[in-house]
Amino acid sequence: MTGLVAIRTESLSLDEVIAAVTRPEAGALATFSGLVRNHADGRRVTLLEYEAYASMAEKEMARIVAAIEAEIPDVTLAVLHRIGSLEVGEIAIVCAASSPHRDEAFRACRILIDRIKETVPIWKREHGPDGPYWVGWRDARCAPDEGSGHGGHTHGHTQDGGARPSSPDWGPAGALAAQRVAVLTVSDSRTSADDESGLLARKLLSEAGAIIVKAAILPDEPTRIASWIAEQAQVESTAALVITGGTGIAARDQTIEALSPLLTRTLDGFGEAFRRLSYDQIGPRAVLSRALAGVVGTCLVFALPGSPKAVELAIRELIIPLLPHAAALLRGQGVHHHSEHNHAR
Amino acid sequence: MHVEILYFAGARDISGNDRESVDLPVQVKSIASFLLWLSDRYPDLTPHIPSLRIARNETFADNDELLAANDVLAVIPPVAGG
Repeated sequence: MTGLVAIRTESLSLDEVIAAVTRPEAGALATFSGLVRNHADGRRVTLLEYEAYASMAEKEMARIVAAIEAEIPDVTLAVLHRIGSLEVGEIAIVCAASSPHRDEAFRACRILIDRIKETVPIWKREHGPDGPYWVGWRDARCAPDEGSGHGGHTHGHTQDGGARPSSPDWGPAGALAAQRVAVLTVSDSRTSADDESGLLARKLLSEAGAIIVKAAILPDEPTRIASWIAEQAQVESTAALVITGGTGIAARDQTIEALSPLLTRTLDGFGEAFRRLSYDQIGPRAVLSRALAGVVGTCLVFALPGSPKAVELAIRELIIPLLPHAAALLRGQGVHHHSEHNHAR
Repeated sequence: MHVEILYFAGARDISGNDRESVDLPVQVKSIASFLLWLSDRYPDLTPHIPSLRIARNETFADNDELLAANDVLAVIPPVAGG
């Protein structure tokens, strides 16, 4: 049975967790204390404000403790986590592990603090000269947009409007760092409850660093599809639209019919390359897909088949490698700036 | 379907509430569709959706998990304990 596991608002004492795990059979006792430090990723920190979903956090910590005690025989654990406003040097967490021998105690204590950091619903807000900041909460909005709505800025957006460089908790910035993408699922039958391809598209794109600015599902009705595309494409900060579904040859497949009249340029190479890659996976049936890409204003639009496999293939092999360069060209930031400009004159 | 929604940390800053009682539209049946609904309700949350997790009745829920009446759904931003 697990012993001491709690969220506290009062200051913590290592003695309390030590007492909770001390027993005659345990010849080893390892502890860990986490303290508020005065800096984080180059920012000065004067105060940390901890918040918890306390009832769930205690359950989650108890679950972690029970799991480790089951994995490592003869280990007993205790942990206290503090919430509220903590100043530099104050203790935020104390952990203790006891066992007959030292290897298990050290190991269990280490695993305990690592797992707590991973899943327990506790958050901290840093306070310091740079203003308050929830640790791990990526400020995904582009700085030039903040508070000004649309139209308050001009080009150059993708370069200076990236995610905060100081967001290592969120993971590495991918190839699509800060590219703003809207995703549309076209289907008569899918709902947001079972939109597997739409979810997959959003997952793959956001894993590559893109910011998903809009997600929608529409039935195979060309006028509604066309007005969604037109509306999203005119949002100046949106780099690309990714549409899945409705590219086949059945009568209800209307995505290409909706998209084609809107395209100011067609990128035939996209469909060719996609079918070439798809042919390797599914053979001749690849030619039954009318996958298409093109440009609406300064926005790239990709129309992909509705199957998750096709979505993954197109996003991984074509869209992720292509999008940053293509978006830069469309915004006049690329190496072909002058020739593009003359061409468009 | 009636549910209670809890918002924490950065998600609460955007929603402006730490909790609300809501009757969800009938088509919102799963965690995945709840996330889409949430992103419509609070457009500023949309870019954060991939990093959010939902806890259903104090347990982390998978995207395909179905909702039930009177569920407590907690919007969990990236955690930062320790």
